[in-house]
Amino acid sequence: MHLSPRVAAAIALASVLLRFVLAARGWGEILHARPELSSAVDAATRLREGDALRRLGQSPYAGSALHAPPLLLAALAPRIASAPTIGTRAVAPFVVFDVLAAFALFFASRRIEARRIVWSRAGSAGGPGASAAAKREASRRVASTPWTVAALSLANPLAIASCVACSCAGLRTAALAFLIFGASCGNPHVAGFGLATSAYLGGIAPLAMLFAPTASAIAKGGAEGHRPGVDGGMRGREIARRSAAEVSGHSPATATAKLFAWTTTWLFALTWLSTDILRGHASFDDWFRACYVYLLVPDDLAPNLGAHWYFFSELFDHFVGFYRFVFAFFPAFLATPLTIRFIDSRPTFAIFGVTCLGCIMHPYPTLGDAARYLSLLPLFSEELAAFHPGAAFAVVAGFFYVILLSPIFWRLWIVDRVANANFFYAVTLTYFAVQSGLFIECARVVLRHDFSTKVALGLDKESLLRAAAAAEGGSDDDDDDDHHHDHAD
Amino acid sequence: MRPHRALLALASIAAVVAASCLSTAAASPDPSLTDLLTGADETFREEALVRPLRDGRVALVASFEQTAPLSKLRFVTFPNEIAAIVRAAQVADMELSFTRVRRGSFALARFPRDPVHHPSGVRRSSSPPPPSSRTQGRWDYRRWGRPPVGAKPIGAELIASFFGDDDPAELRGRWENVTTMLGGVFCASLSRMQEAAEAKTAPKLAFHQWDGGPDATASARPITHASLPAEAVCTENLSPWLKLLPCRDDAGVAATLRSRAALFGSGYVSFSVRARVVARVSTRISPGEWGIELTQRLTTVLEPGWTEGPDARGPGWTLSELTRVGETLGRPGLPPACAAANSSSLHVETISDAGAHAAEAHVVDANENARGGGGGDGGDFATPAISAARSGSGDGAPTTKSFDLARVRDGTRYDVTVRAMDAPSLPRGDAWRETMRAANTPELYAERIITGSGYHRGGMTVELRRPSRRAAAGATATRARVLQVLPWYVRAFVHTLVVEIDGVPVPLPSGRRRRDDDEDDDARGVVEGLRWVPAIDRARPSSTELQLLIPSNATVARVSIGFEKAFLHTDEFPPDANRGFDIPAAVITLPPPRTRTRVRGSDGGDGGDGGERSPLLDAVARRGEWNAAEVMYTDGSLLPWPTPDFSMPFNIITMTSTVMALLSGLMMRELTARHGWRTGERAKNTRRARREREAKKMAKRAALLRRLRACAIS
Repeated sequence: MHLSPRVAAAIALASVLLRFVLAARGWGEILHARPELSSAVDAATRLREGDALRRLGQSPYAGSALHAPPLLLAALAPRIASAPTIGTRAVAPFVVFDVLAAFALFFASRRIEARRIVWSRAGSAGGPGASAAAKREASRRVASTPWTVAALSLANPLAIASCVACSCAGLRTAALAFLIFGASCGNPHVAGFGLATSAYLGGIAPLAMLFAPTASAIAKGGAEGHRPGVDGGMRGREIARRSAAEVSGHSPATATAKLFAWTTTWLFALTWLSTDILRGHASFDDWFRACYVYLLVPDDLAPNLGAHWYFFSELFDHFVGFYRFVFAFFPAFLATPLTIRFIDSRPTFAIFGVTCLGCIMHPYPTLGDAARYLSLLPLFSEELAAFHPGAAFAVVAGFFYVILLSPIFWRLWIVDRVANANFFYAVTLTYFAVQSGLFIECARVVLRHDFSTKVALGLDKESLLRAAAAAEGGSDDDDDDDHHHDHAD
Repeated sequence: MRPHRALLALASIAAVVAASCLSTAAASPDPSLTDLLTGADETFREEALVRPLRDGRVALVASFEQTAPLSKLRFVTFPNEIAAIVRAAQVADMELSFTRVRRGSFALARFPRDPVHHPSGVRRSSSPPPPSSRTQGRWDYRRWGRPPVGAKPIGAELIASFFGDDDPAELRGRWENVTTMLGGVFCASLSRMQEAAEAKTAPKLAFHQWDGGPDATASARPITHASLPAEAVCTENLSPWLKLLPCRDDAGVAATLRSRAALFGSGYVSFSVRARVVARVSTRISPGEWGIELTQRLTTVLEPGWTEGPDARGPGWTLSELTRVGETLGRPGLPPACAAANSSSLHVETISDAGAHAAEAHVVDANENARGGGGGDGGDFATPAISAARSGSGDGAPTTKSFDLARVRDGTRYDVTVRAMDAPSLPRGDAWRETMRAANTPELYAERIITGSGYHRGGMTVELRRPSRRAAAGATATRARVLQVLPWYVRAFVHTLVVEIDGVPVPLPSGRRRRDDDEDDDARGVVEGLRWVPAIDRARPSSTELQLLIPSNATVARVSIGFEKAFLHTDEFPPDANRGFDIPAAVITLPPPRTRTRVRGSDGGDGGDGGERSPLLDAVARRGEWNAAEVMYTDGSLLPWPTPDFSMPFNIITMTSTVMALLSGLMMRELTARHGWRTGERAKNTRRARREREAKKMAKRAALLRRLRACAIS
């Protein structure tokens, strides 16, 4: 789907207005109480509580109420706390962050599409995209895709609901968007800022899992997928040289070093600012424990859409330590092979995958977190065109199932007291499966796409072997027709 | 025969030694040895107070006070276990109370409940009593006025302070010591008080000495407080309590508690033990020595069967009927004073806000009925000492008749009849009764209301309402301290804390300017102090402490707070998980009431306990109490709680793990699948299929050939 810039802008504007309208109509008060939209980590209630504690002259982290980092508290809590109900005034900063995220994604997408053109032109020597029609199509896409990405990120109903509920998930989306923007532009300080902010808002896990893909993305400067010369090394060396000049100008090693330096700098800055704000109220240890250790040791068993709460409220006591470890490191375990597989060819997709895994296995996930990785999907619109229709239907239906049934089951259990916890657990289990399915299908489609690209470019193993054999002079193919048949799909 | 002889020899030696000891004790002036054997330095006083209440019920307070030197090695009458606890944990002061939670409705009263018309006649109400489920298990201030001695919260409550309590770790150790030992003595699960997450707090305002001044700061040594609202109080707790008494419940005042059915079937029963270490608790202890003072009090509200007396002198009841001791023992009357008691007296409030009553004591023969009322054979015992409390005006003084149980002769039994007197015999009619009632009405009524429905969110409101009479009388501003402790799983949010005076919210003091300079602003000065201790998950309960100055023109002050219920692990639920959780009562502390001073009259001669001090009457008059502030508790509340499905652990573990395994398995499959390899595989498969097809064709051909050849041969 490609929206024309005018339509996309209209959609974006409308969705921003919708946020304000919903907030003005008092939906914020309703939505911020929903367990699907606000968890212990990013609930507006907790921010209000932290603000109230600070007003009493106590440490905002004195009790177990607040789990948001100090800068967030300082920046947002007074606006949320001062009004009796959540209205446009409280929602405004969250809208601003959503718009910032959309802008960042817009520029990131433009950059990625531009890199894609570089590939197409390079391949025009003998590959696809040689015709004039294909070129026109490509340039139309480079003009419209960024607008589509930005519009879809703003118009995502989950993002809208999350924003009106004053959930901090929107801020994490903005941080991730900045990370991708910086990485695709080959800009280590912007990417470092995004990474540091992601870690500041979302804990240690994003920092650990996002670092390697980000570094690789900086080095590639927004180039996704296989390009002749760079990956294969057999053909088109002069093209590779030309494109490398157009790319970021960072080798992987320098990109890693610069990203590390900038991330550390930004993290220090954020930490210093936070400690300074809290001076006299709470020590570094207090808020670090409340914000980050809390994510690793999820003690709050309040129902949410994640897998943790029911598991840990039912689990036998002597296994708790082991399963805490398993659950905390499960995304990291899965992220490792994912990163290894994609880090060379598709670092941005690796960022998407890692984010997705982090959201699936987050102890306190909300629908706003789902909106975060969903907003990255349009970046890969070309690859995802091959998404299996059945899988697409299952994923969309699954999201509808979760969004419709979780309030119903929650009401039946908590308000009317006619259901029990298993009803809500069924929703969370479905949500887990749906997210897993979406992620796996995306990975499958992208890998297939990359393989056909490789074959088209003659970069796949067999073509290379064949080419090598042809260069030696021998030809011993007995089932060539099978290959061609396979490449066709 | 040898061991037998040895035993005999031992026994005779023992007898000689004992006899010589006794003779020396009797003869020798050495006080320490005498004390050692007779317990002369230990005192025991027992007292009971009977107070007819406005609604026709009767409050009975039994009070026992024992003292002993702290350093004594073996006690004669003083309970060793209490002394051991006090010494081991270096307790300065501790008070443990048990209050019965009564679920279900009150028994139907047999006397008209209408408080206004009650004593004026024998009219029986045909209408059912008003529903009283709201206040079950706690002292009903609206019907019964102020309790004679402090009312206690539902379940078990322990307040303690310790000597040398600087080190928090040591303080915690002592608290654990005290709770464990008291739990063992009283057969109660007090060890749950050690779970700091639920109950234990160190209040800074409540339970501290307070004269009603505006200063909202803590005083004296830190106090540790814990209450267990869900503790089921029953005879198993009362029996050890009675065991601390020298005569248990066989004689004296404690004999009135003989019927457990009467006590635990009553609307309210609360018993407490207070032990404190003071310098020179009694005249019998040499000066400069530390002593232990043990005060045991039981308050119960009983339902008398108002019956016509034989001589038609108005409806009345006897003490043995009221306490159902007669039924229990199968004999009329009550046994006389405990032999170990230094003083033993029974006080009956004859003129009080419940009207005027006549109290007459009489002696019951061991095997016969009452031998006449009035004086008769009662002799000294039947002539009470009359003491009147004098309120400000002096008119219509509440009058107490005191009977000395020590004067009941051994071998006889006594009983006391109380009759409601007719209206004309009241001193000043209705006006008088109003004055009396005003004196007995508390400064404020406290209620707690739980708001919200469902399992997740809710709120609670503590409502302090000025009695309408006081509001009309143009009362002065009232100070009150409110303490609400909530277990950690009730996640109260201080940003939802609202204090309203007559429905108008007042600003809360902020940390930066705790002491407001502009005190003249009426609304601003309402909340004089706010102390908020936020809860820590599984570690500390939250406590809210407020000091309010309720303006004179205000009727209602409300303190409300919102909360979320935390979802708990299956192990954290009590066995009856679906019942919900009991929330501790809110504690309201009021300044010491401006009470009447008690004057002892000599109408009945100088009988009774003469000029001797009566700790119970002093306590009723709130004089000389260590903490004279009035403490009120709201009702306990039961919060419904969301539960997980307790039968699901294996299902949850397997299902969640399955989904996780599917995610990781499918992901690894996609990541490791090489499409190039897959095509090679497919080519191999086609080749294999082609070869198989060829082989089949060849086999068929071979079979055909074989058949043809066979045909050819045949």
